[in-house]
Amino acid sequence: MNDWQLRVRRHLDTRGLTLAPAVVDELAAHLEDAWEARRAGETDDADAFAAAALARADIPALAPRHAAPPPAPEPVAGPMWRGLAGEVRHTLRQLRRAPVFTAAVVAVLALGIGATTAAFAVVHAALLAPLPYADADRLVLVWEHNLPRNRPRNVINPGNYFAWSERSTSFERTGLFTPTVANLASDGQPPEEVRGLAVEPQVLGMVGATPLAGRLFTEADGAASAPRTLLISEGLWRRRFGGAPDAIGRAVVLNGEPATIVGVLPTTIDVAGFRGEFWRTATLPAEARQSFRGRSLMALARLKPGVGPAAAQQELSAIFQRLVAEHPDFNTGWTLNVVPVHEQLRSETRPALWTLFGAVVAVLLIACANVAALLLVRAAGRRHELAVKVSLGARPVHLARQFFVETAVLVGAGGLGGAALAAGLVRVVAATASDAGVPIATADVLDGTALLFAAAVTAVTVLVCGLGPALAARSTSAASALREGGRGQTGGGQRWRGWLVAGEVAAAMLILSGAALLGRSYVALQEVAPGFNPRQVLTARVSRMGPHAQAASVAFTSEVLARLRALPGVTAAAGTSFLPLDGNLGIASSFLLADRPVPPAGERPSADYRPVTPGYFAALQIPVHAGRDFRDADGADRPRVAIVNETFVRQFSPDVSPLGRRLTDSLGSEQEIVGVVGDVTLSSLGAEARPAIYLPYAQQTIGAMTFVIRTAGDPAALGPALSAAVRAVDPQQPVSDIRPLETVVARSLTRPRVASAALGLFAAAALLLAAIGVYGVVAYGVAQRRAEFGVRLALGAQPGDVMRLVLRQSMTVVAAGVVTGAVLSVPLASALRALLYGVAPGDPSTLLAVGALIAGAGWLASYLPARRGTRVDPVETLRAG
Amino acid sequence: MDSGISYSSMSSQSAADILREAKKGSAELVILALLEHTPRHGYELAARIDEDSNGALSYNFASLYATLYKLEERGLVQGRWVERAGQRRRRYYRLTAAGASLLGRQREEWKQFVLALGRIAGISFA
Repeated sequence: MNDWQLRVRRHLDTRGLTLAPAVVDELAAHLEDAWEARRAGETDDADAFAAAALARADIPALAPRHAAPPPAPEPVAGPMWRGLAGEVRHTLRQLRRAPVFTAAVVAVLALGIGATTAAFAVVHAALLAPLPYADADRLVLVWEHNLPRNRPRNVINPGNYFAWSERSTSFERTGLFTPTVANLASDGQPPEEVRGLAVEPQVLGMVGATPLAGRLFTEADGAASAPRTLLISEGLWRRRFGGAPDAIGRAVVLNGEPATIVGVLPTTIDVAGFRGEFWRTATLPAEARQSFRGRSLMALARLKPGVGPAAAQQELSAIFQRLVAEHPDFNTGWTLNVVPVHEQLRSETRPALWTLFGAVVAVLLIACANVAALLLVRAAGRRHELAVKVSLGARPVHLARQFFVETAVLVGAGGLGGAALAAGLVRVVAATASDAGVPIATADVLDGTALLFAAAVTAVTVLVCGLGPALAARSTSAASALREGGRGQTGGGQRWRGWLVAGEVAAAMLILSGAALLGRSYVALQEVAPGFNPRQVLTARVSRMGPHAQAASVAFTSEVLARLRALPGVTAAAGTSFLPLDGNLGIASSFLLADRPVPPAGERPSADYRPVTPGYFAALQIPVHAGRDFRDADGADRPRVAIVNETFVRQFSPDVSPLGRRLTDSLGSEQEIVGVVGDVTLSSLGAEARPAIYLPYAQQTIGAMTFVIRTAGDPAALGPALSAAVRAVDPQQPVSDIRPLETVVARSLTRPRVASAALGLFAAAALLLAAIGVYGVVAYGVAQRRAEFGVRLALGAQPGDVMRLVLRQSMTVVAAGVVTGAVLSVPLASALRALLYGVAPGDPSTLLAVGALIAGAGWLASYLPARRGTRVDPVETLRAG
Repeated sequence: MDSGISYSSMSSQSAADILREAKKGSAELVILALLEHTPRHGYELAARIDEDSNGALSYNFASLYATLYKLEERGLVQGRWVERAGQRRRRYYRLTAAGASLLGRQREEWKQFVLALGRIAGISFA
């Protein structure tokens, strides 16, 4: 573009006029000729002369009012992209002239696109991306499914496992594994409790593990007679062995038994979601193949190519029917359940993540609506310019293109900003998600797919935001726009903006009602009484693993408890094998009531079994409703006793006192019920209470033990003294997870807390954006109707009348949005059902409260500009009109 | 409607008004006449009008183009972008057959009009 073309364009721009490029060219050529002719006349006023000619130019003479015909078909002929570069430059110039508008639009879009991209990146990494296994879609877990108790993912029995894995033809390989904890001692360093997995040798190969150093297990490692071998994680290798290469081959003591480290695996290796710091071989005794007692293992299986999970399920169901016939006592009421690993890993987090993603998309849509409304307002202000273009032969499609170019420039800038924002956001979101138990590798979250998604969102946003103004431009009629003298008020545009704002309000209503439901659930969960008093209680776990004699373990526990009770500030001390709300579901087993007929197999009642020490109920302040607590006298050599909870009594002994009744557990030992205690939430707050049977630790000793000490002061301060007490009894005994019980309870609510906080954040953004949308549209409407308000006021209307007029119109739009949002929120909230507690989707009081909040925000957003409408000076407006 | 031509030599506003009305359409005649034998671009037209009328006829250049576009739309002239070596791109206008025929008719009408004026108002011209 030469200098004169620039000058002509600038001249037009400053007057809000636009001419077709060909006309600009011709005018510029004319001025340049004039300038050159003048200069040739050897005067030095050529510049001033040409500038004066331009200043005097009667540009409106080129407008349709004068029936000026199109100069030539140039602007309409040729492909759509002709002149596009010029259009973009023109747009950039115009946007530079409106910095506030441009900054506002780009910021809103960057926020919307950034949040959406970050949310997508997380959803993609957590739900959509392929799992890090070779042929991941062929990996399945095989669970046993307890039909009467509706437990579809129950751990499995080894006898059943060997039977079905040998008879089935669906699988290429199968392998057993189970999460475990172990005490690790090495090189004179203090022993440490570490979490890991016991696996059959083939399992690590099935998940594609490759050692960083050393080797994987061989089949020989799995033999019962083989020396113990061990793989450790990179993290444990660095922490405990300083990353020394000679750690491979080093002898360590695992649960009191010697073992040799044979390899180091990346810390990120997981077996169907189970991670650990070490892997040891699961060595099953030969008789385990015939063991039809107890279920405690997990099975990973790789489907043969071409065999789907459904076909495998069908085959295993048939095989298990035969296993029921072969072992009716053990297997009646059970079947097998084939669960693809990706389903296992993702089904639990799916509703929460998709909900959040949906909320983010809704926020983006609201942002789009705001931007579209802003563009509409801007388009209305440019009707005169459009009219001139139409008169010069620009086809509607070219006007639409102009708007799309402008929208594309704005959204493109927003998209770039959004991608940058997403890179930061994604770390925050992934960290939060990982807190909530959704592990996401942050390193590669914002990958090519996520950036492609950002680009796609940007493109769709261009369409969504540009459509309204472009359609409005298409309906531009030259004559009408020119007649209006650039006032730009059109019923159509106003209607468009009304629709947009109603849509924004509806979307905000959706997100806000979802957030309110989750918030109410979280509050309700917090108010759930766990059945014990977690305040001022310190907990710490010790795992007595390996060849400890039962009597030695009992003596160890009693000795530690005696020392703990002697600590200053300790008011009570006790122990339990499974701490409530710790995420460990503990043991559940079927049982028989001795005074009742034996029910048919598969219909036997079951309960949670909890070994505890005497004083446990007092330490946690769990009420004893009847009978007595355990005593030190309830030793291994004394008659076996049990204490049951209220739910047990309600279900199994509603009419007779349970005291004195006798139970037989699945291993055949018999206990007499000596007490009844209150229900305690064991698995998660809000979960239905289950029947529980407490046994004295001395009579039912298992390796796991969590000490609980009630203190007079700050429980956390007693941590070192607690460790010291354990070490004083057994210097080789590690202590882990020393933390207040309140922390354990709070942690169990992490997921609902994170979900409601995240949705709450998006809801606040949605409310703010919707309010801005209402404000913008009302402010614009008021500005457009100043003359009308002036007339009304001059004719005797009171300011209150004008205020009511404005508020009535805007609140109609808001109400339409609230009602639409409320109606839509009911089916959408059903998708949230899995996340709700104590409140139903579509809860009327929640919807009413949220509706009132939005209406209030809408009213406030309307009131401010409406008040401006009442301050119109009638005299001034009439004079101006 | 105003043709966009102003008569700078007129001393009285009312006389200019009368003439503007009376000579409505003169711009078309002038342009068509100048294009009768030679295609010309816009600036050349403006320069010739200024020169040949000794400055008596002066066009607002935007109005000149408005008139040109109107003539083009009616098929009386035809514009074409021409790029010559060493020169900037210009749009040249040439008279069409319809334009030539209209020019003939307009010449005759104007002739009658000016003769009438001369007879009645005592105006003579070379």
